Amino acid sequence: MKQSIYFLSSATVALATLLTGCSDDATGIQTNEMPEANYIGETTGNFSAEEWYPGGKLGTTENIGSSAYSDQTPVVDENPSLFNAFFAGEQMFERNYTENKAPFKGLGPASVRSSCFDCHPQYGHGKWQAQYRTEYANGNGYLLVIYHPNHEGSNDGPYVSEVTAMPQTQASAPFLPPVNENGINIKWEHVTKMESGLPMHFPDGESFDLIYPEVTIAQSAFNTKPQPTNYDVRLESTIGVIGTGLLDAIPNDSIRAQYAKTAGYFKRAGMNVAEYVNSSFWDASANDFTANAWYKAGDRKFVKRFTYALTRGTLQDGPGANAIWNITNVSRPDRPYLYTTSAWAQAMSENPDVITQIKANPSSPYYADGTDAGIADAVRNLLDPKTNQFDNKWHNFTPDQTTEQFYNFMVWHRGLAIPRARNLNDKEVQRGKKLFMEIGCASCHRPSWKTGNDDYWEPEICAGKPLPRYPHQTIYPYSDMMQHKLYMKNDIHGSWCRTTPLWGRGLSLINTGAEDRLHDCRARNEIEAIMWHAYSKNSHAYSSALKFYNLPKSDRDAIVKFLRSI
Amino acid sequence: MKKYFKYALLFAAISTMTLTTTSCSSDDNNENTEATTSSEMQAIAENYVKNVVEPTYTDLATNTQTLYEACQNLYAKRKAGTLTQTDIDAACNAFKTARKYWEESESFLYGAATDNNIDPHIDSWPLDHDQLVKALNDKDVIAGINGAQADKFVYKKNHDFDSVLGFHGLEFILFRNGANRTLAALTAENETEKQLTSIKTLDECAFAVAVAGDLRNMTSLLAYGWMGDKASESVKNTVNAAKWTLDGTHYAGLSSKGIGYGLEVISAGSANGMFPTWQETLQNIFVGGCSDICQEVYTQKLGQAYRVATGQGDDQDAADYIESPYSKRSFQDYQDNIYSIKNSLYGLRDINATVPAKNSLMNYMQQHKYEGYTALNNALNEAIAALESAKNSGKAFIDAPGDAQVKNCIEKVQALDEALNAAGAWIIRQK
Repeated sequence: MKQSIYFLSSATVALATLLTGCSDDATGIQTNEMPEANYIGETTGNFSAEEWYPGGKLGTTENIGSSAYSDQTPVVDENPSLFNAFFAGEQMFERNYTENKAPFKGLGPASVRSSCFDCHPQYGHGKWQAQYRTEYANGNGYLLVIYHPNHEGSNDGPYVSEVTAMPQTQASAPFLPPVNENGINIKWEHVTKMESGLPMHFPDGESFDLIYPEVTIAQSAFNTKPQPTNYDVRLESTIGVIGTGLLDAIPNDSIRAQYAKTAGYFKRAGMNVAEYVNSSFWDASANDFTANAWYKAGDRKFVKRFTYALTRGTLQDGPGANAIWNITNVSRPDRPYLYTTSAWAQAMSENPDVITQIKANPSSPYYADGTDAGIADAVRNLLDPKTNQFDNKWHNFTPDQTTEQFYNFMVWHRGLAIPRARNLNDKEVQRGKKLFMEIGCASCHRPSWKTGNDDYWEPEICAGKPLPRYPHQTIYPYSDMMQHKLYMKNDIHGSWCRTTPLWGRGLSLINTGAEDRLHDCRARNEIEAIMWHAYSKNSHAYSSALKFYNLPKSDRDAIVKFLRSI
Repeated sequence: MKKYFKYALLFAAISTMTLTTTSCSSDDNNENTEATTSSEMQAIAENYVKNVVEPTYTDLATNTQTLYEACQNLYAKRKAGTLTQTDIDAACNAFKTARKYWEESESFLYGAATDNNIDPHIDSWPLDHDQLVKALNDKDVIAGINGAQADKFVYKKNHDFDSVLGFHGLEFILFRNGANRTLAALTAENETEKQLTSIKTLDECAFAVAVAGDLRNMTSLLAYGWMGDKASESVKNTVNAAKWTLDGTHYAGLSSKGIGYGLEVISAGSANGMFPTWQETLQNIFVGGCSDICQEVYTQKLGQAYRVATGQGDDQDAADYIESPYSKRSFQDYQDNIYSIKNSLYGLRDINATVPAKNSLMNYMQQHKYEGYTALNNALNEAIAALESAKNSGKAFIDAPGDAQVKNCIEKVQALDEALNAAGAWIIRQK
C-alpha cells in the first residue's frame, strides 16, 4: 500500500512538472512554484526522501495541523482492532479521573494530577507557569523535584523521603495533600550576565532574554511526619508523548554503539570521559554499559532511554505505563500498592480532623472499629505504600482500572504518530539543516536511528494482546538518547539531562497553544533554548552554541526555521 | 483529527491532472494563478471567520448570558417560594439553545477553546455524583456559591467538584430522564435521586447559578479569544469583569501573537498567520477542525458506548461513556456537531442550506472540479440524516447504546470523516 503511494508521489511530481511547463508566455501568466505537497516523499536539496517521514512510513501521520499530536500511526489505522483500542485508550489519557465515577475512577487518596491531560496539554510539552497550581487540563506539566542538595546551590542530591519522588499536591477528603500548593512559590529571575561571559545580545545587536525559576516550598506546606529539612526544589516539565513507541523500537545495540562512539571521541581527545558520558550508565574503562544502564522487565532488559534522568527502558513499563498508576494513584491488578510515603500516612493518622471526619462516617474504608486508635491504625496502614490494597487486614479495595483498560491505554500510547516534516523544499530550511550539522548540534541531537525487529516487551496483564509495532523504520527523533550537561543556572536535578527529541516540536504552538522549551519551560522560544546551551563554558554544547551565537541573523533564523520544520 | 491521509497522494494525482487540464486549456477563462488561488482562499478563510466562527461564538456568549439569567430567576423564585414550571422550562429552553451553539462550534475547537482550556472546562463528563453530594454538603462550597462572586468561586475553587461543572453540571440540575425537571422535584426540600437525597434542592439551584455564571464567563472568553477587541461590548464587559479567566490563560485570552485567533486564521503567510500558507489554513479547517470533531463523534461519543454495549469494549457500563444522559439529547448534540461541520464547509449558518456561500470551501471545491465533492456532500447529508432518524426513533442513545441505528450513525459519520480527510489532502495541493 505505502509503496504504491510512493510511486504515485513520483508520478505526481512528474505531472506537476509538466504542469509548470505549460504556462503560456504569450498571456503573461506566471508559472508557479509547486506546492510543498508535491515534494513530499521526494529528495529535495539536502533532505532525503525519508526525512519527510520522521516516524518512518509506519509511524508518521500526514496531518500537520492543529490535531497532529493526537494522531494514530498508520499501523493503528490499518488494524481495526488496534484502531478501536487506540480510541478507548485515548479516553484514559484525556479524561478527568474522580474518586468513584467509572470508568475514570480511582483518584487518590493522594495524587499528583487528576488527568494525564493536565501535564501533557494536547499531547504536548507542559506550558510555562507563573506559579505551581494544579487544575484539570490547565497545562501545568511541572513535577516538583524536592531533594537534599549535596551542597548549597547544588542541583544534585537524593530525593527527600517524606514525599513521593513525584510530589503530590492533591488528596481526597478527609486527607490533606502531602504538599500544600499554597506553600509553593516560583519566582522567575532574569539572567543579567551569563557565566560564559557572552553578552545578552548577538553581535549584530539583537537581544535575547533568559529566565530561570527559583522555587521554594515552605516547610509548613508539608503534611508529613516528619517534615523534610534541608531541601531544595527544582521543576521538571513533561515533554510530548508522541512517537515514544518508535523510540521503544530502537535496538539496545544501537544505543550501545552511540555511547561507545561518544566515549571514544572524548577518550581519543584525551579528555575525561566521565565528564561527558554519565559514568552511572557507561563504564569508560570497560567500554560498555554499567549494570545501572539496563532496565529489567520480566526476563528481558532494555537500555534506559526514557525520561530526563533515563530511568526507564521499555515503554510498556515506562513513564506513561507508570504515570497512569502513580500520578493518579489509580490501582490496577498488577499495581496493588499506593504511590505514597509512610511519612504522609503517619501524619494523616495523627491528624485529629482526619480522625473526626472518618469517625463520623461508618461506611468509610478507614473506619475500622470506630475508635480513634482503630481509625488511626487503619489510616496509617492503608495509606502506607507497603500495604497491599487488595489483600490486607484493614480493608480490601478492588482494582480501579481493568486489564482491558490498561491494554487500551498502551495501544494508544504506543500508537501515537509523529507528524510529517514540513517545508523541506524551502531553501532557508535546507540552509538551516546545513548549519545545524556544521556547527555541531547534531552531535547530541542525532538526526536518525533505525528501529530493529521491535520485539517489544509487554507486561503479563497485556500478554498475548498485540500492540503497534514499528520494525525496520528509519526515524528522525534528533536525539542521541544519552544524557549531557548544560551547566545552566538552577539546572535540572541531577545535572545530567537526556537529549530531548526535537521531532514535531515545530507544531507545538498550533497543537497546544504554547511552545515553551527545556526541562522547566524556561525557554520561551528556540533562540532562548539554544542560548541556554551557551550559559556556561562548561556546557557540553557550548562550542556549538557559541558558533550559533556568532552566526548572522539570517543563518540563526534559518536554523530556527529548520527546527520548526522537522 | 486522527486520520492518516491514506488517500492523500491519490488525490494529489487527481488534482494535478485536473489542474493540468485547467491551466493548459487555451480557451479557459478561469486560469488559475498563484495570486488568484491565494485571493480565493483568503476570501474563504475570511468568510469562515466572519460568518461562521465569530457569529457562532457571539451567539453562544449571548445565550449563556440568557441561561445565566434564567438560572438566577429560577433560584430567586425558589428562595421566595414562587417558582413555577414555566420558570424551570425557561431555564431548560435557554440551556438547549446555548448548548446548540456550543455543539455547533465544535468543528473549530482549535485555537482559543483548546489553548485556553475552555474545553474541557465547560464540557466534560461523566459527572461524579459523589462529588456533587460532597460539594453541596460542604459549608464552604455553599457559602462560595452564594457569595458575591459565585462564578469566581466556581472557577477558582472547583478542585473537589471539577467533574460537575459546565453544561453537564447544569444539565443534571435542569433535566432528568429526558425531560425538564418538574416543579415538584425542584421545590421538594431534598433531591429525590437515589444516593443524592442529602442534597437540598435550594442548594442545587444556587449551584446552577454559580455554574451558569462560570459558563457565561468562559464562553465570553472564547468569543474574545477569537475576536479580540472586535468582540461585542457585552463580551468585553463580561471578560473585564471576570479577569481571573484571563489570568488562567497563557496569552491574556488571545493567541500567542497578542491578537484574536480569527485574525490569525485570516493572516496566512504573514507574521501573524496561524499557518504559513492559505492551503494549510484551509486544510486545517477540514482536518484540525471538522475531522477532529467528526472522528470524536464516531470513535468516542458514539463509538465507545456502542462497543461496550455490543461486547466489543471493556466491561464497564456503556452508559458511563454517553454524553448528555440526563436530557437524553445525545443524538441532538452529535447532529449539531455535524451541522457545525456543514457550517464550516458551506461558509454560512443555515442547517437547511443547499447552496453554499460564494466564498466557501464547498463552492471552491465545486468550482475547481474536486472529484470528491459529491461524495463529501452526500456523506455530510447522510450523516445528518442518520442522526435525524436516530433522534426521531424514540430510542434515546442512553437507553439503547447498542442499537442498530447507532451502528448506522457511526458508519455514516465515519464516511464523512474519510471524505473530510480526502478533501483536506486535496486542498493542500491546490496552487
